[in-house]
Amino acid sequence: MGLLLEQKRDSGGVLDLGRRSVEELRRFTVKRPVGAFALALVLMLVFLAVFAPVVSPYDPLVQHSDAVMEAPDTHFLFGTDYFGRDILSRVIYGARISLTVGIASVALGLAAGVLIGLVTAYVGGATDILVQRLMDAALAFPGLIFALAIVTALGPRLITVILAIGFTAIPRNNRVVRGSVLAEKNNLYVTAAGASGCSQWRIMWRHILPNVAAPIIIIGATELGAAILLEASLSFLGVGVPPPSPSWGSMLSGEYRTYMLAAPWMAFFPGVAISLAVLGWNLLGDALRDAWDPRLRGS
Amino acid sequence: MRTYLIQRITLAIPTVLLVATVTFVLMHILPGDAALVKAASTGAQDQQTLYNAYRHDMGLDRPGYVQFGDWMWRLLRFGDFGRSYGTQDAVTHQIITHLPVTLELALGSILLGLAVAIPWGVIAATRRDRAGDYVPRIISVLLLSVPNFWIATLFVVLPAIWFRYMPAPGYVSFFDHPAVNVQEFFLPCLALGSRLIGATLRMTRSSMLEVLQQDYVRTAWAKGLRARTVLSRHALKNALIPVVSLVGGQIAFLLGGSVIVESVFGLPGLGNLTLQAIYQRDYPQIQGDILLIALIVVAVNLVTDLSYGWLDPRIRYG
Amino acid sequence: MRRRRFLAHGTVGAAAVFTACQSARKAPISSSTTGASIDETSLTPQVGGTFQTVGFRALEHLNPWKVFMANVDFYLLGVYEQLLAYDLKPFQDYRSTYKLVGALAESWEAPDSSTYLLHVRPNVRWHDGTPFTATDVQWSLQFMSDPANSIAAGDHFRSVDSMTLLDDHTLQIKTKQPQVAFLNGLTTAPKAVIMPKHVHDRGDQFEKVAIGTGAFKVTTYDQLKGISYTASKDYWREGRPNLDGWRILAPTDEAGRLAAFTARQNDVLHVSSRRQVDTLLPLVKGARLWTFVRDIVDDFYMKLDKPPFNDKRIRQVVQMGIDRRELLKTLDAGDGLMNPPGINAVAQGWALPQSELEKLPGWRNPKSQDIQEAKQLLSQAGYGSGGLSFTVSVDQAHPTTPNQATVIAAQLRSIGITVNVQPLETTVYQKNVTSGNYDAIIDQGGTSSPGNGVWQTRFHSGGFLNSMPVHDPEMDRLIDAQAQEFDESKRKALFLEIERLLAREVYSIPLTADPGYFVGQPYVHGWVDNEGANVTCADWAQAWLDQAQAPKSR
Repeated sequence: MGLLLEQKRDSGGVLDLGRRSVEELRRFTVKRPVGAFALALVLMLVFLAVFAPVVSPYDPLVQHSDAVMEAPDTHFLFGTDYFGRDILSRVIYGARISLTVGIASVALGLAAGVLIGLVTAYVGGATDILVQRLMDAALAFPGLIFALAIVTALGPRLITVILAIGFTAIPRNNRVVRGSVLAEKNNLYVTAAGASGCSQWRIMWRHILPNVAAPIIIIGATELGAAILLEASLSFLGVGVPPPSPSWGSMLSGEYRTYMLAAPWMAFFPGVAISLAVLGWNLLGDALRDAWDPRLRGS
Repeated sequence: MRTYLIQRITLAIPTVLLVATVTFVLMHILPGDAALVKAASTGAQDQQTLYNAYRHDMGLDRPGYVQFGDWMWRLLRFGDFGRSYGTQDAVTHQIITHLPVTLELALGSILLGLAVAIPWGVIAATRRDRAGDYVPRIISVLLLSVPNFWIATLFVVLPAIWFRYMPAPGYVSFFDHPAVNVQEFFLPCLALGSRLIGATLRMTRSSMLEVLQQDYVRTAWAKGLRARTVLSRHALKNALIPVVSLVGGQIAFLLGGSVIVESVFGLPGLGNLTLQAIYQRDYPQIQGDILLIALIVVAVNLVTDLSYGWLDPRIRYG
Repeated sequence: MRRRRFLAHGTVGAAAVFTACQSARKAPISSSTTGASIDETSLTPQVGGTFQTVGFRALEHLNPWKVFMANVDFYLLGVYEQLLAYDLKPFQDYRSTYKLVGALAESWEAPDSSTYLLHVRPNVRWHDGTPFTATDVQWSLQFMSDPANSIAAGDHFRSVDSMTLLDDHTLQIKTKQPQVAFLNGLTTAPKAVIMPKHVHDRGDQFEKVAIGTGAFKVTTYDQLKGISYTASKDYWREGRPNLDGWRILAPTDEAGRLAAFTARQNDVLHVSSRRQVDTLLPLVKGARLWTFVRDIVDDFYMKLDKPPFNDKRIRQVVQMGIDRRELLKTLDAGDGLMNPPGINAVAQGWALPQSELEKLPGWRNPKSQDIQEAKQLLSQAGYGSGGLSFTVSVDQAHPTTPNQATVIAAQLRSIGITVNVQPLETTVYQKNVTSGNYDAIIDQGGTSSPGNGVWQTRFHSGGFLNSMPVHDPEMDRLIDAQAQEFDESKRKALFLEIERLLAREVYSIPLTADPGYFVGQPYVHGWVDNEGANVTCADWAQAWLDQAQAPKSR
């Protein structure tokens, strides 16, 4: 097959490039169907989030007072809520919030967690022990309660929700990175780098980090799913991104729940949206893990 | 083994103290305070005097470090967590009365979860890549993705609408009326344990798959032993090692999730108590609750680590 | 092969769900006359049975002087009583007359405008058998009014000059100044219930021991299981209570209470949406519906001493920009009433009539006139389109104000004002309100009661809830005058003057009086509703069950 590709490279042209990409995509889908499905879900999520103003049929905040709690029909594909707002539009804009909170908090959690794990595992000694005790203490807090307390303390806003969710992820990330770094630390190339005069920082950044990148990225994908769930839980309890922002979690609590009898579609579609989004990221994390590190399977 | 045990226990103590400190600090940077809630809820005219009086009663007008020192001292010396601002009842008493509900919920979730997930995971592993494998895999991945409060809501509303069925809100102890108790806890445990079922099922399946490829299992097959013996005696025990670790790790998540499930089903447990306490800034109650939850998590982690050591001899001596 | 079959099954399943949604057709919007009453006068109450309902909030302890105010109404008014009460009949709106009748005070006289003689009812016993006397009354009132005890109900007695026991059954109360609403306060002041002196004297705590004079005694109180009560057989009202027992189960949220109702675990419910009612009634065959107008209404208050609301024109803009009819349509399916400032529209004679209201800016129909004027005034005041922005803070736990804020924000957006809705946690909200740290809030407005209510607390310069603040000498004069005007028609005229002044100066912006829907199981009778937010019985002694229809557990 490699030969075939070499030959084809000579015949240039954009059309040919397109044909080859489609061919690669088809092969990928057949070989790893789950991964392809996950990628599709995630890409759709990103697409909806980025192009929300274009894709959504109505403004999510506009109230159609003569169409309050209407069942799904041709005007409002997902129906309307108790203010007469279009649920489809709110679900689409909700993707924005979920993705923003998810990516920002995971980035924060990874950056901090990786930094702490990397540095303390490599440096070792008293710092390591002290910081690890702190991390263990943090791990003993159930994530939801911890995040709840932080958001309540700082006031429910987008930035505080991101901070809270990111914070709760730090101890877990720290633990994973630590494990990988400890394993890598004893490798020959590290000793060699040290012997050739590299500073500690340089060793950490340039040599160790790239080799532990794979587990980090895998964690990142799964964490995104968890972050979306946590954000939904916080909104459910009333301490998430404040209304009228169409956060998916807030669309599953309060009046949406109370009126499940009269208008079940109000809570149904956001629930499906959350499930699909989290599903996508979870499966993506799995697929990445399968591709890069079969040893970590099932962990 | 003994050194391992001692080591782990000694490390647990500073962890718990640290948790206590962090909890206290976290609570006291919360804006608004319990005295204000109380004063406002009375609808009284002269709220300022009332507020000052309540503040003094609760000891909130003392400097922060004094309050902290006092709380820690009472805690360590007398095991006294103070009195709840809302009910005037001792915090320990409130915790003790509400704890059985949460414990039953958590334990029930674990038992139910394991009872469902492990056999299914084993079956999925043995029927690899066929229908009997795909269905559990899809279900487990769905269970990991669907929010448990959504499942909980469906479990409350749907039976009421379809079957006019809902267990009466309130707690009946297992030792008083076992039938009613099980009825009450079945759906909540299922809702809370949904994520656990998903995770355990996957873990069991993949762990089992790995073990089934090991040499010693092949030897067992070659010896002509019956499938049941091979699976249960040789394969399962080793396959369950990572599962134990997983379940232990899920405890913190279960206790956190119980907050939501309890409030949705109206179960008066520790999670619900803590949630209400947070809303009302009932500091002694919150501090006591969180400290206890953290203690439970630390204890469970300890037990998990130890059982890990027992199950896998390599770790014991490693 | 198997994969494809699975996909096929999946698509069919999804299609089934979609079709199910379609069949949930829009519930018909039917309007109903508010305050319609059910006539039960021809029915004879049955004796026996146990009533069962689900709590909305946990009861902290048994002391009515110190628990959360709504909890007293819900949990303890069957156990403890007050000196006076309103004339309550099942499914009747007592607010049409606000007629006072005696409870623990059998009768009373007012020899002059600052003196009251209360005759304590004879032959009343506490639940432990001890006789009830005027000493209990005097002790309770004095205990409540002592600031050292931090009891909210005591506020009402600050205006009392002296309380003297004339004999075993008569108490003389002298107020410092003539006060029209003093007696009303004896029924509504944050639960000025009478407590047993002998229980206090022997050192028992009211938090743990509940001994009252009411129709029911507390049998078990368990935070986990709920509270159960049993009928007090020597209750002073002849032939009452009808029920044998009463049970309140552990609290859940509104969705849970609704589910419990459909499962017949909960006998009564307050529903806040007409659509919900229309969907619920077919599910529970024979369920009884009673519509009323909620008593406590909410007003839009603004900080008057800083921009933008220190400019009266801006206040007028907001007044005209808010479309109350649309509020009613969106939130209440068209039921409910528009309120004049500071009072519930239901208070006939005391509130500006709807016909006068509809001529004022802000209430005019069609709305286009208001909108046009508002836009003109806005640019006159210097804020072109999009220039004005402010924050509305609400208590996020409140059942209606966050929703009102959301609708109002959308309405004001369409005339070019940016409104940020800020739902705050209850504690933070309370703090901001008391300290005046807000741009605008939606908070409790008037009621229908002809007490001093909101005039005194919010609009008088000395009022303790006057954080806006309002300092208007004309307002103060009117408020002081009505507090001492014993002639009812003159007092009503003063009320109307105050409301007109408020509408002119726009110190606050009134919103709507929302409808409330009581839904009861088919076997529930004799229910007296307190017409508040949570389904609360205002007179436990009158309730009764049709035992032929009730489930066996009752």
